[in-house]
Amino acid sequence: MKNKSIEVLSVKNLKKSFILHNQNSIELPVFSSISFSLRKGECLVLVGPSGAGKSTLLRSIYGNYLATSGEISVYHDQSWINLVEASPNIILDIRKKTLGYVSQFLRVIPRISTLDLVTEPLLGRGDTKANSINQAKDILTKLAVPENLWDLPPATFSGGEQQRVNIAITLVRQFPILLLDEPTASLDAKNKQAVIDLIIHEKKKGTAIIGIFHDENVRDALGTTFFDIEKAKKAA
Amino acid sequence: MTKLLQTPLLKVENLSHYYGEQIGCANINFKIYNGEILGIVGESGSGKTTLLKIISGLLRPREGSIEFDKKIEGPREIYKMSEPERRLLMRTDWGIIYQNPKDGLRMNVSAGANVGERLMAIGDRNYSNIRYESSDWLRKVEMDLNRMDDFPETFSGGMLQRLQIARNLITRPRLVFMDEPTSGLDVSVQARLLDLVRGLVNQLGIACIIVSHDLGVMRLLSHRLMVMKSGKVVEQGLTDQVLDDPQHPYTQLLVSSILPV
Repeated sequence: MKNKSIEVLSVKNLKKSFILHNQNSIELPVFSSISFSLRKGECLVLVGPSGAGKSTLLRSIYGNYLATSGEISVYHDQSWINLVEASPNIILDIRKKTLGYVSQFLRVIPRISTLDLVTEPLLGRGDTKANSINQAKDILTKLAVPENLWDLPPATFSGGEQQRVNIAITLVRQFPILLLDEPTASLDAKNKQAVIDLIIHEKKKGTAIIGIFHDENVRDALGTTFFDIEKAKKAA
Repeated sequence: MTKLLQTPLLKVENLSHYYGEQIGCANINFKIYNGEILGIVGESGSGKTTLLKIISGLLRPREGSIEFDKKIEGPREIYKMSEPERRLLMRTDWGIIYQNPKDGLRMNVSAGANVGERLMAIGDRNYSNIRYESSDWLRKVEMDLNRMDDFPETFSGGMLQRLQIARNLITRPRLVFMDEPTSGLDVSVQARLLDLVRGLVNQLGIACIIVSHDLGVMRLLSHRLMVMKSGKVVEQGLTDQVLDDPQHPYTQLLVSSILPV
């Protein structure tokens, strides 16, 4: 039980609502008083019907959405930082080293080859070129992205291929905490398994994961804890 | 936590400027750190270019202070420096990429000379070295070296913009200002230029302030975003947060007006 019980992220009384100023300033409440914590090697699965606010919660934790109130604490560089109050450059530093996010869709600069897209973040944090390329090739192989596609930009790839490239770009960096929004949504059974294997491997190394998986099999294969947003809302 | 203690490269405080009674920009505050790309967006007339001119040393503001962290002396207020000191800063530690490349280039000297000029300005007199460095930079911005001795007048818009980038980056500036660097370029050239800028900024670790009204460009290029309206900053934050979860009515309007492709 050496490393098993170390907490890496905690959410306290988190509230998020949207105010639409151009539609008579109506307020759309999504959730309030959400609290949970996440430990090393844990995979917390967010459950709830669509529209419950699972993606909104994930995006709030990543700083992509601005939390209305509450606290999101992340263990970063040997100290705890409250993301809700952190300045943009601290959030950027956290995203660079601690917190990885896999979105549902790939969004990258056009005309850059797949291999470069996966390699670049590694170079950016100071790895050597040879090492970065090796790691990139390794993860693309593990995710079964065909080698003849590596030199092409992913714009023309199939949905499933794009999604695996998207996963590769984030997972290659080995973040201590991963946020996964439907990483297996448009994959066939075989490729789904490749992604599951990779995530299980990460989990064993101690990576903490918060994920949204609609697929029951994926959920059962990966989940250690389940967090029901609807229940949490009612309890509040 | 080192980031907290780092001195900002550029610190702007309570900056205001008026054209007569007309507001140019009012009460602007921000900081930029090494290696950071800051985007400034807003409709035309919102004061973006005025702000850029002021912070790049081209227009003295009515009120406020702008401090630049100089390599040796540390933070200095740019409009309290002597004119020669500020000029030296502008051609060494700073780079300015103009919207119209003709403003930033000398059209009646060769491309190579345009790129080498800044080296000469800081005292380099070894011509073979200058030529070597210039050709190296032309190569980095993907220019055909056969065109090195041609006048920029014969170049296309995209080539001129890349020439301007090479001319500015050759002295390895620490801060680069860009005013609509991709406007007026066709989309394919634009994508290549974006990739080029981002790659160079990544490799050299320079900070960059980019003014544009193209939100797509900003999403891919900038880390942080500042939204301006009528001379004021109405919202600032992480680029993806400002674009995906805008808080101010004007930003919400701006983001919801993007045409899907």
